[in-house]
Amino acid sequence: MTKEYSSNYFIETECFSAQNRYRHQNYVLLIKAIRSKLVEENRARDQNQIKPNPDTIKNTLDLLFQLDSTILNQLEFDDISTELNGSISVDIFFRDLSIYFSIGDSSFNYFVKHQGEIIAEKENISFSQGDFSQTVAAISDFLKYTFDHNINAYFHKVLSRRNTSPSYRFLCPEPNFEIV
Amino acid sequence: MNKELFSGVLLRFVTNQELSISKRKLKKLIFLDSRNPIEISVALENVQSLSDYKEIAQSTDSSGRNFIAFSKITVGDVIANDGKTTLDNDPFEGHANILFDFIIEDNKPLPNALKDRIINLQKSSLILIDSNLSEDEFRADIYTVDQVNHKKLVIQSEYTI
Repeated sequence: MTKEYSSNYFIETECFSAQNRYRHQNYVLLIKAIRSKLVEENRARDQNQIKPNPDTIKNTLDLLFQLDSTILNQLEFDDISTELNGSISVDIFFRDLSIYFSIGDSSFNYFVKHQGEIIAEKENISFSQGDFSQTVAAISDFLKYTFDHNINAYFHKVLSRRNTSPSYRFLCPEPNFEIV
Repeated sequence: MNKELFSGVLLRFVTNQELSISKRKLKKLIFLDSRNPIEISVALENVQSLSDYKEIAQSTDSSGRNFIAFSKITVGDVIANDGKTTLDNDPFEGHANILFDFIIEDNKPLPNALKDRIINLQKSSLILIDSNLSEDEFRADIYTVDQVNHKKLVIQSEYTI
């Protein structure tokens, strides 16, 4: 049976209180984004919509703040969604990479797509396991590597045009630019 | 017994909880329903007119939601994503369900395979946003869904109806 929570409960719950670990440049923006989505759901009075419970919200914050800032910086307000069953979707897009998180009250699933192909996925990653931080750190490192790889692939493409197209200088104006 | 469909065009009613007209963005996965195994209500396009379906969408709204658009996909898109479509004509003529062999639970994450399929369906769809909310007749601007970000809508003005 689904437990009912009032909107005040969300505001009072610990994920909205100031804590050292959330002193992050994106913390305020993220809290505002999630809170405004909850307000929107409350106003909608949609009988089919399950409201995310406080654990799901806290888990979302825990997960996002374990990610490397290069990934978190790609996150936009509309990338966070509350789905019909009360889960929270966080979908991050960067060039031709898409990262899809689905977060619940005790676990999360994720998959990564590159040019339409799933290149990584895992389900039922528990928030209560002791190795949660390590697991998410590994995911974060993988995503960061994939991001960097993507950027490198882009620069390789630009550099490969250096000998054939004079227009590369407009794309890459630094004359001494080299991939390290 | 409900008849399985292998061709045709399907319409999903879209509300303002699912679509932001001002941002031209979908706010959540529109091909998701809370019934288990997953059943997604749709309407068969050629059975009633869009204006008739608009009237049904507004009159059957039981939870204060405002109908503002249709999402349009083909039965072929459903089949390509391992779903099937059955026509039951209940609660109205032309009503059908898209079926996926997945179970979702309240407050639990969505299965990856289900989410992927629903996102693919969303990307396959045209979004017909009602440009005439106060009128009985349905007129719409037509949008496609961005092929990277499944929430972004791209105007296809030449298809305006």
